[in-house]
Amino acid sequence: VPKQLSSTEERSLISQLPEKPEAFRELYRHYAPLIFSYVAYTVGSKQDAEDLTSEIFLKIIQAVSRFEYRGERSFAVWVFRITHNTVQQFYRTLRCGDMLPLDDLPEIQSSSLLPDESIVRKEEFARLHKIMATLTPRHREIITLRFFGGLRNLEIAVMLNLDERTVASHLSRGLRELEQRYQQEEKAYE
Amino acid sequence: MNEEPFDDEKFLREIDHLLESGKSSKYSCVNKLAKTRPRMESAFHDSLEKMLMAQLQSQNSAKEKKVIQIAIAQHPRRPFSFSFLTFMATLVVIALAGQLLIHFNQRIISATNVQPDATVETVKLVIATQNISAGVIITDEKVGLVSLSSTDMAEIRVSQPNREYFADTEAVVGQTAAVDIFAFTPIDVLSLGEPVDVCKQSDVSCPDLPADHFAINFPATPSIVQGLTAGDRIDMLGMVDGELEVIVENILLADIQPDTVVLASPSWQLGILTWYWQEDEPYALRLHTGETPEGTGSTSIEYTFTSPEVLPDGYEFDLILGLSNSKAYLLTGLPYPIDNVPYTQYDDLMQFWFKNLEVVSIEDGTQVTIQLPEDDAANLDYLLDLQASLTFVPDEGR
Repeated sequence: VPKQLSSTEERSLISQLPEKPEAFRELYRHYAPLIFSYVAYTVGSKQDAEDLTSEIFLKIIQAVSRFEYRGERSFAVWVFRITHNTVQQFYRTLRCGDMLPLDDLPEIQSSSLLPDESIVRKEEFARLHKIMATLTPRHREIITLRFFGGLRNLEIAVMLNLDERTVASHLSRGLRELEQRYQQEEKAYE
Repeated sequence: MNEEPFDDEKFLREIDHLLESGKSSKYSCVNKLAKTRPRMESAFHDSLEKMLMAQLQSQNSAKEKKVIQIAIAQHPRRPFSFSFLTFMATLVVIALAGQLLIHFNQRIISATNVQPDATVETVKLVIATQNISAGVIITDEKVGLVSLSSTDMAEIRVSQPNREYFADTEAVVGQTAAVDIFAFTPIDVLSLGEPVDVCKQSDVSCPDLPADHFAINFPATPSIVQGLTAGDRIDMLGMVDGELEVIVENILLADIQPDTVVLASPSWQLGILTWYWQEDEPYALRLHTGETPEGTGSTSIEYTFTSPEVLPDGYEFDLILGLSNSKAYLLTGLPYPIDNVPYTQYDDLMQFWFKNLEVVSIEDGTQVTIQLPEDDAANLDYLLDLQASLTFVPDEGR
């Protein structure tokens, strides 16, 4: 579970960068699980998600001295813009819709998971990941940022240079399409 | 506007509740989506945290070492400078020393003369303060000491625990550099001794290269190639506009010499490597793990684009897509291999010659539809997205 930070705490930590590395540690603990979760849902494979998360954080610490605070959550938007760009570059080379081997999947968050349940959740993840790949890139992007990146619609809008209402509309339509395709697959399965 | 604004709003409120308070939605798929959040494994979380903290500390300590900066400023740079990467190398080295500390529990500390500083919980490490060429005798002004956190050092994940470092400059002064030692690089036992012959730039015939591959030599410290062996497919990472980027992917590590690596690739990737070589920026290598997208075979498709110039009806042409060298690293995102597309370099422009195409139609002089293999069409589309320049060359052969 990501370490929660209030906006005041976050601002204070950012102001101490890059001179005080300890301040970065707190920011890392807050953002790393969110970034990993977002990246893992986008790329599917645990190994790729770990490699990309490392690459993203290396970029963040290289660029953090140039970050300008522009109000609440501006750091989150900045961090996810770097994340988004890094993943996009990687994602272009992926073939969407391929079923991932179970062993390659990331672990799924839960308070208590029995081994069998862990496998069921991984299979559910693989299934949803496959259906997500059939959505438009914009829908997929916005759903993943909202559900796994922890960004609100306004923050996603700023990040992607869209209107907030457009983001809300994409989110709603994307989720309904996802639900529809999920139900269709369920029926076909039965 | 949404067709069902009320439903949309209600639905979105449900999503907010689901994500913020865990309240279930009536949509089963959405519930499942919220319950399949990938989890970062704690070992990875912790090791990345340590690595990043060490990286930041090493950057900051480097800033404080004004004497080092002055030393660098006073000495002309060699063709390559690794100022950033050597920080990364330092980081790796910190990791190595860290594991040594843990794994061998003080025994190695005494063996390597790295002494902990009890008051500030740091260890001292001898580094080069300027580039030192192989064969040069190390003098006082060429080396300095840096302090590193022993806590972070001791907990960092490492990949090569066999290095031995120095904590005292006197142990190094008077010795000969066996390999080129780059500024800010920690000096280890292996980098001292008699210089070794290396595969020179002009001697690219050293390794056996695959057909259609060309080689280029890059200077390298041992930390750059650690974990890699000749024959590996690798990616090169480097700095572009202050950002760490993948410069080129899936090239061949043809040979590793004590202070040089020989990289080999098809000619278009060699163009990128040559550009980066000239940029005189630091670099890192990593094992290539991504899948190489397979071509789709001979399927041809129609592709329409807008010409920046008005073309006459019935015009038959080849297309040259030009991309400036500074954008060349973005070619790592090409959807398909582009090795089969003829390539030339003109000044600082990479040029891809799309010759395998048929003109289907030209409407209004600018709406151009061509037919070409699907792979080429996808690559062409990608290059146009990168705002590659477009040149039409009359195809008189048709």
